[in-house]
Amino acid sequence: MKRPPLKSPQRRARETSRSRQALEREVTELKARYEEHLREASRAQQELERRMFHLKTLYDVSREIGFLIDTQAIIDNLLLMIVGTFGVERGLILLRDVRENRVEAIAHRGLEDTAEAALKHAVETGLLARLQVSAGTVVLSEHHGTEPLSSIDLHVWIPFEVSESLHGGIGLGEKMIGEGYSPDDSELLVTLANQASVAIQKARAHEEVVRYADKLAASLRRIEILESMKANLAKFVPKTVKDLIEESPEAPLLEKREADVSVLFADITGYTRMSAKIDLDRMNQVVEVYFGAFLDEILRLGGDVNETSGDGLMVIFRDPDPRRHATSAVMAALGIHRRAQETNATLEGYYEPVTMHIGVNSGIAAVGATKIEGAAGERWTYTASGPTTNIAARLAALSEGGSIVISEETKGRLGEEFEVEDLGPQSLKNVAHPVRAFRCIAAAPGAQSA
Amino acid sequence: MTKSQEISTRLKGDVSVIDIRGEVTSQTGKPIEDAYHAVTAAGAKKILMVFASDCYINSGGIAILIGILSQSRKHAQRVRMSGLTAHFQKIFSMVGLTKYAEIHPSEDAALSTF
Repeated sequence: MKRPPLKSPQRRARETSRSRQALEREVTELKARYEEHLREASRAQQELERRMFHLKTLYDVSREIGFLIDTQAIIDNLLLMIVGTFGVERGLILLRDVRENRVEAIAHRGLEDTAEAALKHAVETGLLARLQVSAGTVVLSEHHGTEPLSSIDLHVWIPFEVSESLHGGIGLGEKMIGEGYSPDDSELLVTLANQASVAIQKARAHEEVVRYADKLAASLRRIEILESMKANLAKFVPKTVKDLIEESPEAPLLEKREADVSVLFADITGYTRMSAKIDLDRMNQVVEVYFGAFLDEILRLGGDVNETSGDGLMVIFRDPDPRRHATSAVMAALGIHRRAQETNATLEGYYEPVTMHIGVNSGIAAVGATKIEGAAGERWTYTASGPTTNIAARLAALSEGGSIVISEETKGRLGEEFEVEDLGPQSLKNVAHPVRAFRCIAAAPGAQSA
Repeated sequence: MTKSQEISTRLKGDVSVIDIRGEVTSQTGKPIEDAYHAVTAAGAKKILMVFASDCYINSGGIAILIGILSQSRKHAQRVRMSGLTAHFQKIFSMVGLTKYAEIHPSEDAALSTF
């Protein structure tokens, strides 16, 4: 067997050297590939960490601004998070009313103090209106008409829409790391802008609810005041007027109309003499005690106290049945005397006994508002005016203490249960013809308004 | 200051140290700003912010720190940070905070660089 020729030492050395060089090349290549993989892994890890940081920001934003109900607090907080996430020194969030070209709210960090005034001017002159919401992320240096923003060193602008009339924008300066904004950044910014929009919508809805609640509370307070005024005014207003106003609050039927009524006048006998003897406060107490007792009788019988003077009352009785209101008026007159006697007995020794003289007349009267208008204002009184009322007043003047004088018209409407005494025709002041009058002495037990 | 945050200041030689514990967020950032303003008003030119190991910092908190660093440049102050976990060191580097403030593994290491 033939053996291969032996290699010379030089040849073997050359071959070994070649192998070693090839090996070294392979090792270098492997090392380069390995280092490339490491760099790639590092980049991937860095990207992963960046994305996790962005996700964390989204989570924090939803958590922190989701609970806020104040627009300014929302944009202040959101701006901080955006500035921290993208590592910028200058940032701005602006809300503008597009209908009125007015800044609604603004939050900024790292901008000069003059920036806010410049922005307000830009909004008022419509310069920012060119940045449409559909534009996405706008690189300001590449966009015409954005000088107001780029002049304050903002680099990108992300417009968003809260409502038809309220538009907003997020403006950011250059990143501190010097890199531009990537498509991922842009996507995150648009997402954050959308979150801002939702949060602001919610806050504004809440603000509106609060405004309505405040208005409602103010209205309720006004109603309380009006109710209180009404309660106090009602003390001075005849019941008929209260009823008419409650029936038709906006247009009460207060005009004078002819109506069949009975009118009662009751005066304290010897009031002038009494008031000269006791002081004014005590006199008022006396009047209040007696008239309070009379009022019970009057209201029970459906009378309406039309007016009171120091010593007297005018009461109107109305009813669809003319006999019924005449009977009620006379029953009320008898009740007034009875209550006066009862009160006299109660107050015996404290005050002089009080007696009343009362007149009642029935017939047609003009019932409604009498308007007195002057330059300084107007005053309305609700009354029954005309001869029926005048005669009732004159009959009261005719009667003596403790008696009731009624007209023939009233007497004619009463039933048989009333005991009356004919006083004959009476000449009354300012009444053209004599009026036949009757003194009502009593009513049979059990007598009541028809 | 919220319950979950503690901020204090102390002097270490000519370095004003601001110790930060707990949360650093947009909601809790004001005490840190107040502490910075206090040491600045006292004339601090060297500031070390020492973060405790339990510190939680979110993007809102980072914005507060960015604001402080911006002001420190205007006041010609040198700012260092220490105590940050590896995670937050990466985040700070990612957002560019390290451009204006060196980050050191420990307080002593940071102090030795002023």
